[in-house]
Amino acid sequence: MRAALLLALWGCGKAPAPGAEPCTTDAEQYAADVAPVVETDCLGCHVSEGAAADTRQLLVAGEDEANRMVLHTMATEVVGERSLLLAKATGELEHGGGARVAEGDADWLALEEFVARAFSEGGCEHPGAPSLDCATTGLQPGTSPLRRLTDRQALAAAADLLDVSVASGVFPVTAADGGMSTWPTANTVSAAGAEGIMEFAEAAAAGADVSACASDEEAVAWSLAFAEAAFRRPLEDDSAVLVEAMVELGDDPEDGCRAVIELALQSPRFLYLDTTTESVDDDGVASLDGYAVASRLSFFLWNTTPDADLLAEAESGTLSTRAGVRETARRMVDDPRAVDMVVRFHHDWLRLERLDEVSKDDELYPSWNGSTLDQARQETELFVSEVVWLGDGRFDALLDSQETWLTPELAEIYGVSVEDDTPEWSRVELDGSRPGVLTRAAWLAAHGYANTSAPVRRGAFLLEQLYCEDLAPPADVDFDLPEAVEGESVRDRLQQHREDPSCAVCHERIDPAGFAFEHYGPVGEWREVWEDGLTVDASGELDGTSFDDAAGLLQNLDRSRARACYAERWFEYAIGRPAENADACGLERLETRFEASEGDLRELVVAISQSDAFLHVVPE
Amino acid sequence: MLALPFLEAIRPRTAHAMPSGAPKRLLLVKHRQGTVMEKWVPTGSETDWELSEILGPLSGFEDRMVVVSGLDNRVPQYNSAGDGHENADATVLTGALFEDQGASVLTAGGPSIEQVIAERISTDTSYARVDLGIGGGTGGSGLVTAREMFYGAADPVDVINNPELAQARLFGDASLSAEEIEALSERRASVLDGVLDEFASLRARLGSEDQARLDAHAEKVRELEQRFALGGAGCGRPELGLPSGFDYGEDEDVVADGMIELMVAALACDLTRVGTLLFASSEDPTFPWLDLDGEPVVDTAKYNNWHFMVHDGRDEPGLAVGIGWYTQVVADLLAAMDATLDADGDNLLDTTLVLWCSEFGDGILHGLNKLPFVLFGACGEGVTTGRHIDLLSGTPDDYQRQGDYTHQQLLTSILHAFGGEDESFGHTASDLPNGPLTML
Repeated sequence: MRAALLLALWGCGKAPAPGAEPCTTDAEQYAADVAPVVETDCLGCHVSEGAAADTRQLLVAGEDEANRMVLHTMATEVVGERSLLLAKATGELEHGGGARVAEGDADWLALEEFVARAFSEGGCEHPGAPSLDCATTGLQPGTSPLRRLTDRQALAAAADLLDVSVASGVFPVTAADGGMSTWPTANTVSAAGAEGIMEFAEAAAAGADVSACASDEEAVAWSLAFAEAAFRRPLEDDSAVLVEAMVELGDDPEDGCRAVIELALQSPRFLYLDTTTESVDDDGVASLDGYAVASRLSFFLWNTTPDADLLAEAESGTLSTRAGVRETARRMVDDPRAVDMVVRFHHDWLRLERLDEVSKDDELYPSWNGSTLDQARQETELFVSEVVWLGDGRFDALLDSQETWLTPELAEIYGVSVEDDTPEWSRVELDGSRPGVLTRAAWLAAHGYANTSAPVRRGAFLLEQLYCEDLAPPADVDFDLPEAVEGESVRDRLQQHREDPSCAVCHERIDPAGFAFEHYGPVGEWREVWEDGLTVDASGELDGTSFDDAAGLLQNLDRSRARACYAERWFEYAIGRPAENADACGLERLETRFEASEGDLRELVVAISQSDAFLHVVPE
Repeated sequence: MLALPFLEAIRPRTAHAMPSGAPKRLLLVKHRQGTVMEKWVPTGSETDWELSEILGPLSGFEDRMVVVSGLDNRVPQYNSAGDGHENADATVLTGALFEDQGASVLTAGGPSIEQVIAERISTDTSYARVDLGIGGGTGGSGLVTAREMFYGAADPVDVINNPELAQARLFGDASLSAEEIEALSERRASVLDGVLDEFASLRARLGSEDQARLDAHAEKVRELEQRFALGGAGCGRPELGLPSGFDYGEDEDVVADGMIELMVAALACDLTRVGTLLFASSEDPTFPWLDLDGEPVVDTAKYNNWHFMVHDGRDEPGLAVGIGWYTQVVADLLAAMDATLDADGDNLLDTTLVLWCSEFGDGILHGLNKLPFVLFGACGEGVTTGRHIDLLSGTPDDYQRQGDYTHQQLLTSILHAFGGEDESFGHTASDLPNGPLTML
């Protein structure tokens, strides 16, 4: 895993520069290749009397060994997935001295090798990723940014707490926006959003049964119990005082209880996952307390607020040990409530939020409408829950299974027949052209334009979400493609990607991966000819393996790498933030367990609940 | 309230004079995907110029506007992440770098211009700002996240794109009596007051980064609490006359009419002093209410969608028609403002600075240079309207070449128009022109 994170530093899977031949030590490489660059390009400013005297990068003329250490620190500091040293030297990051080296020139190559060595064990070995000794590292939880509940989590929690159903759409909509729906970036609160949350709380209060609040005393008792459940831990004194004041605010005891509901559902103690800790170790790493763990488990595994059993386990101390959490997590993944997690994770992973943003050409697809779109989405939800999770529960089924659930409309898109008298949904075994979730209407339509497929989007998805490659294009990239010429396929037009070196570095891999899906049109229908009349050519080669179409590509994927990436994405969903360098050992353990279980999704999810990042935080 | 300069404060005011001194309000209008440069840039000299094809609907307002051509957005050059759209969106109104160049989801690192001004001039109104949108789909249940506007770092603004929701929120529930509205406001203010206590209590135990996250949320709650503590707006509720069966996700022309009415009413009764009107459709507007000699404006047989037509269709007549519709909405907005007096009895347009812009210059190039900026109404002390300030350096055809002036300079000038003395706006660097535009 560490290797994958580090490879990302060079972008698009490009390997670090190979070690110099014949054998040179790191110090020799510095003296021979880097010191001259430092002398001509850095010492002008980065000295005690220089323009950059106030920066951290203070160098001394002639002090090679000290300077090498300063550069080493810069080399290993990662900014925007690039080494700070290279980012500054190229002027890619703001640099008072501007661009000192240009990518590919001799000075740049010297610095690049220096960076590669900084991440390696150094010496004469081929510089590459270090083998981490994860057995001896301490707890590494990484960061734990404060997370707000998603829209679905807030609605589900209100429903569980009060037995009310608040219409979705009142609470501000969570927007995964290319990340995960659980991340803070998906759940910021605007002024209009805060008003929506207020309306949500009022709607829940209006619909709740508060007949237990018959007298002032009963209203207070009910309210304190409700607030405790809503906040998922014993009530703190200041909250209790506030709750009692709210009861008095009402016109009568029942109305007082409604006021308490309005308060509680807008309180950050309800809206944010708490990070209360109970002990700190010598390295400054703290353990989350049982109630915080109960909330994390519940909102991860069940996508809703903890039930009474879970809170009782928090109180009894069961959730204060790793083993206790493991047992509870095992119980929870076998509960039917875990299905919503499976659906939500895959929704994010497959980026199905794009379905709401794409429209399809009315003339080409007159029968494609909001209902078809919902059915396509539901098919994939049923596929990941019924076929995969409740089937053999393994990763391979996600990419291979030809089983699915279809409506007559979807059957038409797939070109299969379902009997007319079948119920709305029927379980169908598709043919070899439809293996797994990436050959189904929802993902294909979400990654397709109005009247053509979207090979670049589909290919980029494959590399980003199955191989965890970082494909961010340069900021000033010119996205313009040449005008369409008759008789020239989209493949011909995209050929430019591979002729321009700045594009080729990524598109050499994106485009073939995307073209593999060219037999699937904008809504996922099978086609033998392109819209311009040319015969579809979906063949290609990725990482030295050639294929004829998507089925071939998926069959020949590096499954081990794909499982590792998929596990990383699950981790990011569960933890509520992107993976960081601090997660290297945690991810390695996760991937090892997932691999050892032959891709068992339940094992993966339970293993995530055991990770440092799930159970611990580093208090500021 | 803004403190007036000494001389300004003692100068006698005339009832219907042309704007003098600082504008009372800012109204920001923004559309997406830029323009077609050769059909946008006015022709003629600075003071004797003619509207272009796309700007044509503004006929009659020439004396009350300043077109500024040739400002570049250079901020993305200092970012090391993001694609062209992410860079353009996050910088056009903030001038700020991404908050975190390594983030998986990129977001601006500072507030956008209208937020800075709202914090200065819109502090004692019911709303610090009113954000309305046209288009952008129904997926957000009436809200659309504005990728261009930020309260602060990593804190994006949502606009309301459902006119019925906007009407209910801004002007109250029509089915309630005045007493009921007052009682509801009082109740809400009390509950929100308690909610703020909860925020304060939880905040105390968080680290500074989490405190900032919580504060960003609490600030919105505080504003809500203050609004209800003021007891409701007391403004005239405009009737929108929406046709039956209208769909705010599709009928953007109807939405535009409604949003203009709501915005003008909100500004006229001093509900807020900062408004934004965002054309929130980006990739997929189809302009079904327009046509091109009977044909659709967006040629979907040839292009996937509007975005692709903008990319590849320089000679498509539909582009100028679609973008020209944005101009038409701006013209309708100006006309409505011109026909309205504010709470002091002044002409609403004459006392408001209206700023219209887009995140790209030439849309076909998706260019960050030569952004289209137009100012209307009260453009600031000493700013003469009726001008086209041409900073294209005599080479208007070269849409991508970097010139000598940045859009941050205009944004700094706008801060000055509101009485600010800011030396710059957004990101600063030794080789990045910033500070007010001297020729404005």
